[in-house]
Amino acid sequence: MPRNEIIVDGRKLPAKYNEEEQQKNRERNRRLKEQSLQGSTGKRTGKTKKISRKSYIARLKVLLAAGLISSYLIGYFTPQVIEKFQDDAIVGTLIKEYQADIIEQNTGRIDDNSGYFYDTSNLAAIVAEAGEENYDKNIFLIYCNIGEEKTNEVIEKLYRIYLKTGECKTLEEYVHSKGYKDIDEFINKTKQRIISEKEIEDLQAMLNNEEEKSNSNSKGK
Amino acid sequence: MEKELEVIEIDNKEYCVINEATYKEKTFLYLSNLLDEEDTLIRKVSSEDKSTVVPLQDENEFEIACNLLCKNIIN
Repeated sequence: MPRNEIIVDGRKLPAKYNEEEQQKNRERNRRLKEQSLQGSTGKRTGKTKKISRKSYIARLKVLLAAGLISSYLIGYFTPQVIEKFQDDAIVGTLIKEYQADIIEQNTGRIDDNSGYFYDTSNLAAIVAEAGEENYDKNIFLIYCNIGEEKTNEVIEKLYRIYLKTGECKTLEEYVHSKGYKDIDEFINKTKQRIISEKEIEDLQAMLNNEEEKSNSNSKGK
Repeated sequence: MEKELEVIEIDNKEYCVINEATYKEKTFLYLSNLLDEEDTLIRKVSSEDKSTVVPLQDENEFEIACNLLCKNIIN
């Protein structure tokens, strides 16, 4: 299915989505440039605030979209490359987030400080708790962060301790059991799934905005 | 899951630092208004005072900052 034909809640997104999105990004770029070249100075005081991962990714995407349009206008990137960059940014951000939120929390120092270890039992528990529909995504994110050998340990523990079947002991066995040809196919399809989920999330938000606008217009009449 | 981000006040508005990139001793901060996701701007760390962030010098510097952001996120 072409990417601009994703159906959300049984409704097809308007065909002019890409055109509208490009216009929106040009406007974002214009505003970003204006605000970056003008205005006041600020002070770095070390003050911090917490925001949700979803909000962080949304903000990153706005900045990236505005910035990429600028790069595109001066001829660095083609629209196809921009699309790929946005996709890579979504997946790359999730991998980094997973590293900070999950992997680092399950990494410890060896007693004599000669190295570190991953708590693969706890990582297996996290995968189990995420539910079967999220196994692929979690295992993909673990694999991207700690490599195949340690992911094998997570999978072995997931199936032995939490699922109690012992069906899979390695990543390769896992991907075959899920119907993938090999690890590469698992990686590519899971990446696509992550990107599609993000797109659906964005489109859902867009439709909700349209509905809100439509509701407020009809109330105003 | 939450992220803890640095916050900088500019024109009485709070902006969180979404990304930071350095090129030839210039450090750029990519900021997003805490109350408005669409309100974004880029600032540069002052070479004279590292705790101060200043507007970009010109369009050329803006283009450099945009390219850096893209490369920084993707890599």
